[in-house]
Formats: sequence, C-alpha cells, structure tokens
Amino acid sequence: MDTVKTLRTVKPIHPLTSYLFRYGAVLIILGVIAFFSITNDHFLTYSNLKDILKAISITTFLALGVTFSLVVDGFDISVGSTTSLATIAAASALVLHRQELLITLLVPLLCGIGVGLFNAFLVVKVKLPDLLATLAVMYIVNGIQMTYTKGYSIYEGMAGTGGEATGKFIPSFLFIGQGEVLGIPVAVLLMLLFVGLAYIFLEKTTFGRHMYMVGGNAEAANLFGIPVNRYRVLAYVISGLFAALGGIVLASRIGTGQVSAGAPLLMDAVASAYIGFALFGEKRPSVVGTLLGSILIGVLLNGLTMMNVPYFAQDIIKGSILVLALTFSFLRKERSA
Amino acid sequence: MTLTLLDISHDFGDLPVLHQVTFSVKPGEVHALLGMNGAGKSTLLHIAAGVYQPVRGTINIDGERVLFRSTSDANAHGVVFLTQEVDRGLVPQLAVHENLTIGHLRQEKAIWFSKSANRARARALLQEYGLDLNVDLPVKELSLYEKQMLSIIRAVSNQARYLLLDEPTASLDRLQAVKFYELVQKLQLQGLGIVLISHKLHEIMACCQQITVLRGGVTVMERSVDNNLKLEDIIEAMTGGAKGIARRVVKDGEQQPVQLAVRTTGNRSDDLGIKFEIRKGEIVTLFGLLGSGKTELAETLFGLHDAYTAVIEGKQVTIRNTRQAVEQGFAFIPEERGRHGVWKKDDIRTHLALSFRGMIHVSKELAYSQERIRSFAIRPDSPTYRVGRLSGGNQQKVAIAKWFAKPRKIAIFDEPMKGIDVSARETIFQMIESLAAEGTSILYLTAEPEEALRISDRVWTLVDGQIVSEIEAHALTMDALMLTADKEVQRNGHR
Repeated sequence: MDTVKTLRTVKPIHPLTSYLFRYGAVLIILGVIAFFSITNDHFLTYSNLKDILKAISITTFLALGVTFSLVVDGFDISVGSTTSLATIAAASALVLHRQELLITLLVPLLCGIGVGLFNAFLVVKVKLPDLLATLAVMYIVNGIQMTYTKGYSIYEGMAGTGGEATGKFIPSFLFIGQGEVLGIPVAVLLMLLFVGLAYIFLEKTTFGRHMYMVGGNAEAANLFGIPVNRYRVLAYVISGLFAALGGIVLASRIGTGQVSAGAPLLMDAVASAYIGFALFGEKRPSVVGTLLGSILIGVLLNGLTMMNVPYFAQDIIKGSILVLALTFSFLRKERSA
Repeated sequence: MTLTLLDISHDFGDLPVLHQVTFSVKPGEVHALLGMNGAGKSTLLHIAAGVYQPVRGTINIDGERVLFRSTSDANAHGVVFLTQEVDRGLVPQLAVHENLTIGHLRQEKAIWFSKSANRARARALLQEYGLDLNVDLPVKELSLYEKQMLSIIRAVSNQARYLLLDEPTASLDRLQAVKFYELVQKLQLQGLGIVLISHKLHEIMACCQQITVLRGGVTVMERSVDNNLKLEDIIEAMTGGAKGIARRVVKDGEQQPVQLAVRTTGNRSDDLGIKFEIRKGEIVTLFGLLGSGKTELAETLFGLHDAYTAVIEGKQVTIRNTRQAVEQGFAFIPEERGRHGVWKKDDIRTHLALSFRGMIHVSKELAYSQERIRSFAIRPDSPTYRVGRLSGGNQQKVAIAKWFAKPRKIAIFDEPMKGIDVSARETIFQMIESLAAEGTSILYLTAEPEEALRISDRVWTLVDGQIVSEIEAHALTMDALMLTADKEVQRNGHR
C-alpha cells in the first residue's frame, strides 16, 4: 500500500504561502503592536510597556504550567484553581498563622506539588483523559479553597475565630509582587527568570528532550527505555508548581488572599500556551512561543483598554486572535506524513 | 460460474509485480494461492477484489467481462475480500446481531428496527454456520477468530459467491484453525468459490482442491491437489529450487562467551517458558511464520510484558520494564517502524543523540550525527532533516542507529526489512553485521527465509511461541527452512 501512496504527486507549496503560514502568528503580534502604537501615543511608552509586562507576568506562570502539560501530550486545566489555592495558602500563612517569608513561600508551593501529583495520579495511574481529569481536579481544588475560607477573602485585620487576625502581609513578601529593581518590577524579573529556566530545561537538556519525545510518541519513547510515566508525572508536578508561583505573585501584588483569584487567569493562560503551540507553524508547545503568546494577549488587553473597548468585548477579540493563530498553523500542510 | 482473472499484469511505478498471470476459481472449489513474500499473491487478490485496477488484463465472471472500480463493485458481483485486518468491516460498538445483519437492514430500508426479530435472525445464521456466540455482545469484545468467522458468515449471508481470504489462519490457534477450515469446507459444499493465501502448507494440502504458485509475478505451478503432490515440490516451486544457501561466512571454531541466556525456571511466575543462549557477537535468527509469537517474545524480552529473569554476561538480572532492559544492555528495533521506532516530526540529530545525557551541545551533536550518518549511509545526509520525510529504508537506518551511541549487549530486530527496498536492505544487513562484529549479540526475528539465509549464524524455528528446532548456518538452505517450519507446525497440530 505504501508504494501506491508515494505515487501521488505532491503539489509544491508557493514559498510565500509557506512563509505566511510559518510566521503568521508572529506577523499578527507585530501587526497588533504596530496598530496600537499608531492609534495611541501612550502605547509605546516605558511605563506602558512596564504595565503590560507586569500584567502578563502572572498569566505567564500559569501558561508555562500548561505548556509543560502540553509537552508530554497532556493538558492541565486545573492551573487556575491551583493559583487560587496558592494565593489563599500564602495569605493564610501570613495573616492567620503569622508565618515568616520562608513558610509563606513553601506552603503554596507544596500545595502546587500536591495538586500536580493528584493530577498525575488521575491521568497516569487511573488513566483518565487529561482534560476531564484536570477539569475534575479544577473543581475539587476550587472547592477546597472556598471551603477553607468559607468563601471570604483573607485580609489584614479580618475577623478571625479568636477575634481579629493579627498577622500582616510582611514587606518582604509584598516586595515580590509590588517591588522594583532598577525600575523593573520584581514580578517581571521573576517571570523572565522562570521563563529562562523552563527554556533551558526543555530546549537545552536531554531531560527536556526526553519530555518532548514522550509527548511526540509515547510508545516509541517506552520502546527506547525512556520512563514515560515518570516524565508525565514530572510535567504535571511542574505545572502545579508554576501555578503556585503565579498564586504567590498574585497574593503579593494585591496584598490580600482573594477567593478564586486564579480563575479568570486560566483562559488567558491556555490561550497563550496554544498561541505558542501554533507559533512558527511547528505545532509544538514551546516556552518561547508561550511567552510570545502571553505578550500578544497582554498587548491586546492593554491596547483595547486604552481604546476604551469594554472588557467584556475584549474576550471576543481574544477568541478571534486564538482562532486566527491556530488556523494558520493547522492549515499548514503536513508534508512529513 | 467461474471467476477468472485473465492475463493480469500490474506494477507499482517502476516496480513490476505481476506479469500475465491467469487465475481462476470455480464455484465449489478451494483454490490456494501460494508464493514467497513479494511474489504478487496479495496484489492479485487485491485486483480480484477491486482494490487495484490492473494495468493490463481483464476480470471475467462466467465468461463475461466485468469491471471492478472499487471493492463495492466487486461486492455487487458477489466477490468479497477479507483482509487480515478483520476489524475493518465491523462496527466495534454495535452488537454481533447488528453487525451481522447490517446488509439486510440496508436492503430492507425499514424505518422501524425490531431488535428481537433481528436477534432471532442473527442467531439462526450463526447456528447454521456453527458459531456459538452471544448475539448481544459488542463486536469489540470478540476475539480475532470470532470476528473473522463473523465477517465470513456475514459475507455469505449477503449472497457472496466468491470469498478471497488473505492468510486467514495466521493468528489462529490450532483448534480455531480446525474450526475455521470446517466452515470453509461447508461453504465450499454450498457452492462458493474460495481463494486462500496461506503460508501453512499442510493446511493447504488438507483442504484445497487446486493450487497456484506464483514466483516473481509469474505463475510457476498450477495443478490440482492429489496424492502425487508433495510438499517439497510446492516449496521448490515457491523458492525456485535450492539456489538459496546461507551466505554469511561461518566463523572458525573460536567460541565466544555466552552473552544472554534465558532459562526455564520451572513453576515461578517470571518463567518465560522458553530457553536459549546467545553468544557474544552472534547473529541468531528466530524464524517463524505469521502468528508464531515472534513479536510477543521480542516484547517480553524487552520488558514490555511480565517481569522475567535472564543471565547476561554470567550475571543474573531481573527485567521488569523497558527502562531496565535498556540499562541491562538491550536494544529493540520494533516491527512497526513508523509508529514505534521513530519520531516523524523530529530530525535525524535528535534521534541519533537520544541516549545522550545532560546538557545539549548542538555543535557536538551535529558533528556526532554527521559521523553516524556517514557510517550508516543515511540519505539525505543532513542531520536537521525530519525523519518522517525520509524513505522507509533510511528511517529504519535511523531507527537502528539511534541505539548505538554507546555499545549495546543484545539487539533485537523484529522484522526489520518490512517495506524496505532492495538497495537499502543490503546496507542494513551490513549495519547489523558490523554491530555483531563489535560484540553485540543479535536476535533477528523474521518470517522471510531469504533474510534468515542472508544474516544468520544460527536459525531457531519458532512455533506457537516455542523454539522447536535449531539449524546451524552450514546446514541451512531455503527449502530446509520452509520445510522445518511447516513440519513443526504440522506436528504440533497433530499432537
């Protein structure tokens, strides 16, 4: 049968079309930025660019988590509620339990690892479909943080069981989300640091390569002796960790433990990761792609707000951009088949 | 009432497959189509079934010319082709009775569908052909044998007049094969014409009235089965005489140490039920027909199934999973190269450097890849070329080369020449030989006698997952090989 297939002539693709498909998503980003710079004088100012980066820093953490799950050909939709849980955990450690910085950072991170392990258990051991398993976990984790707080936010001086809660958001913690170093927000520096770490891990080490191999063809990976399940567990744990990091930065930025604060970030994170997936027409989740996807969404939100587009209409535009980016990459002919 | 393929010639591009072959099957006749792989049997069957249109030649039924543009054209003329993949025509989620009567339901064009009436109809059909099956079972829960029987009964109940069967008993056990041939006989008595491809020659001798042997796309033997027909004659016609003898140079008496030994351990749970020894640098071929359990054995050795104990270089080790197998020095080149052996979207360099550890040094990997690409003669010779775009032969070279960034003790090749053109074959054989020369023990699994002859130091014949005989290379000829494999199957069958 193979012999028959090869007889079919392959129509050569025009080089221009090929480039359009390959760099379509990049062109969209550049186009959007150009559009906003022309229509709005304030867009290309340092303070505005800083605002954009600050705004996307938290989403990018979640999007990195989603990216890791995509790399092993899975999907983690629970990152939003993990972020919420981490926010609450950090705020609770500070305000309700009067902990210092170290514990305040450790507890949310452990929560993230816990959620990641639970996701991995459901996907790898119980073998539930990834989307459904993490959807269920999303509900469960959201329920946990709601139950823990009884639906109320955690803030300094709130009424606790034994009178007023005496803990404070300590300055060293607030520095994470609100401080600046050399005029650059710490949150942005953290984001760049972790983007760099994730990039080095996925693209520059053989562990990352094996992770991609597991996602690309799990059976072939197993037949090469690559411990497929370990890598899948690792990916979900990393995803949980990144979501928790997002939660820490979020708690620090707003200075309270908002209930369900991570939920609205989920969709932007998923969109960023998928725009990154489509970028360069590779259909390959990547850290750089995710960062660019995140930037695209941040730029859009910022620019549209400046143009006084109401926030509820912005979702329409976000959705359309996602469709456009994905269309470019999925329309591209799979010539390697 | 005869289905005749007249003067059929066919080719795939430059590759001629059939040359003026005439073949016919009468009603009430079981006609065996025999030949080595690549002789053109399957192609001829595909033409008869309307899958391919022949380049030259015609198909006649009762002397009247018919044109099969598709399988449904052939079906309309009562010609039904059952491939080895029996799942193809069945709907896995639907129950047996729904699958069985799908053709009737379509003809009736009824809007209301009575399950109970349909069940009764299905039960009657199954009973008529002696298949004991719960009609409410979804088809996905049936065994391969049951699916096969179901497909045949369905074809017959839809007024099929000619059945084309491609290696129907390959994956069946003995009892199932016996039952299968009972059904064939019954259909034959009902007046169906049946064409059968099989490599199990004794089965052919027992149930067919007519045989046709193809070799290299031409008919070399066409006769009825009678007492004068000997198995040896058929094999000679298939192989073209004793031309094939072992081609690998037999090494002198120097004995290498045993590299891998698997022993039966009695009643323990990690017992493989098989025992053998392979020496360092030795190429042992495990020769077995389709359905002999080759792939299962290879997968078990590589740790894909239950844990087992082996002795590697004198040390006893237990292998529970593929990771441990690789740690113990195993390499595995799986049969389904495209699905299991390579990553089509990744480039050659990624494959070759797969067993590297730590940080990725692109320049180092590129240099290494270039050196490997040269020594394994991979074309095109660019490390950044996507493996999915390589030819089958070059994909296989990559699938093999990806293992040997470091020396391996044992390499298992499962049908490595499947779908690989002649010119690449020789390169791959040389690759395997040079690996053996470097001290890797090779376990080569194949159903092709030519390959066994080309590469082996020793040949083991595998039947029903058991090694039943061993032939040293100097005693090896193609006819001997075919005869042993078949005799053993036969002997097992009568035990």
